[in-house]
Amino acid sequence: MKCEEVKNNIIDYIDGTLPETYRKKMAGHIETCDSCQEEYILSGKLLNSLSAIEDEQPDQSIRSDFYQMLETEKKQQAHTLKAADRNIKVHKLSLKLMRYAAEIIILVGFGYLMGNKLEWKNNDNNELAQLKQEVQSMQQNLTLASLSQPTASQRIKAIHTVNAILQPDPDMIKALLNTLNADDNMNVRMAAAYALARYPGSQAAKDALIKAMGKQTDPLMQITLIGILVDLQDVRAKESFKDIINDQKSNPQVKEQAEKGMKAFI
Amino acid sequence: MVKNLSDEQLMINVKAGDLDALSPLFEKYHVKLFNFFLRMIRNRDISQDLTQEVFRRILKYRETYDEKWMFRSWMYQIARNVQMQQYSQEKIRFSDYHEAEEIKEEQLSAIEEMEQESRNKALYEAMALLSEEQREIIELARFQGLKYQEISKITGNSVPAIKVKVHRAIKKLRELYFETV
Repeated sequence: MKCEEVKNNIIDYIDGTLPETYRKKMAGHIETCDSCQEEYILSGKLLNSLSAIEDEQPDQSIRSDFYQMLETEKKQQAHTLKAADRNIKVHKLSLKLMRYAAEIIILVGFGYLMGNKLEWKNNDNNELAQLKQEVQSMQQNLTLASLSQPTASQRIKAIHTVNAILQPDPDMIKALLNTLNADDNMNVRMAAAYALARYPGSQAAKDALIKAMGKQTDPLMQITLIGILVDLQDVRAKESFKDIINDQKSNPQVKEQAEKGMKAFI
Repeated sequence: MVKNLSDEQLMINVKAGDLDALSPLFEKYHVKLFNFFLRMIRNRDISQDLTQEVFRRILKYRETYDEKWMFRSWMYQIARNVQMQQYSQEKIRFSDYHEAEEIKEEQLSAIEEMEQESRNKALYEAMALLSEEQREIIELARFQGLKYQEISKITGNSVPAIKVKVHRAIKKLRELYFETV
């Protein structure tokens, strides 16, 4: 064994990590070679000194900082999970509706072909009307799903698509009413109120607005609703207007609007 | 029950969303990490911050933890990145020609601070004279007690190369050390 090889392995030799046969070979060499012996002794001393150095202790604040960070991250995680869960639910519903839409498109195509080929002219109009209705109800369902989107702008967008639907069904009115009463964002509630106002022919829409008039407490919402109800000329609104006028706590501007509104009823 | 889990299993749990599983890992390693930084940069406050930063990154990047890695290797790799980033930021802070002097002064005062027991003084002084790379290899191989295999994973060098580097660094330190005592 050469000196160089011994010197290269001296640390592992001291650490005792070498295979037994190899270690014995090295031991034999070190015993007879002065230079390697010196290397062995000095390295041993140094490694001993190094391992004698004790770890210093950090300040206690390191622990409290860590646990504080962990708590913050846990809160963040809970928040993200909730949002993700909501997204998945909406996503699942959307997927279902997409499948529905695809089925209808196939049906329309199929119906069209059948109509052309077999010349079932009499049935054509009926079928088309039925399909139109189905497409509309599908559109409504999509809007319903969009009303539970996580951001306010997405929900407002959903409400605007309602405007394209000429005859909303009771479910749609109910969804808009829910949004009007319960959405966290005032702009979304406002959009829902205006959407409902677009159906003066719908008794359900009017009922929903009257109900909302009694419930809304935000001054801006109240003023919006007063305007809408006056336009609709629904006399039942007078009751709510009176309540506002008689309530001492009412916002003066809302009160003024309600008084004007009372006069506007014929 | 928690105590029986390996580092790797704990980290897998953290990755799966059980963030509390990081606590035993913190308790096990934060002093070691603190000393890793302390010996590399010799400043208690910064070392505390960097230790914190390592655990912050472990949390932040928990999903990138690869189960094939030993947790310890992964953690030291993060520590190494944190330290290198800190080092380059520090470098920017000093203007060109003041740099060497200021760092030297800082090192000396820090050394004095660290060795109230003077028996380690010569050793610390000798270590301060090593190159950054040599100090790191000694830190990982001796103070943190990592195997060549692990250091190879962390630094990207082959095992034989690591072995040579350790050997050279120890030899150099030995020369510096026995020169002064």
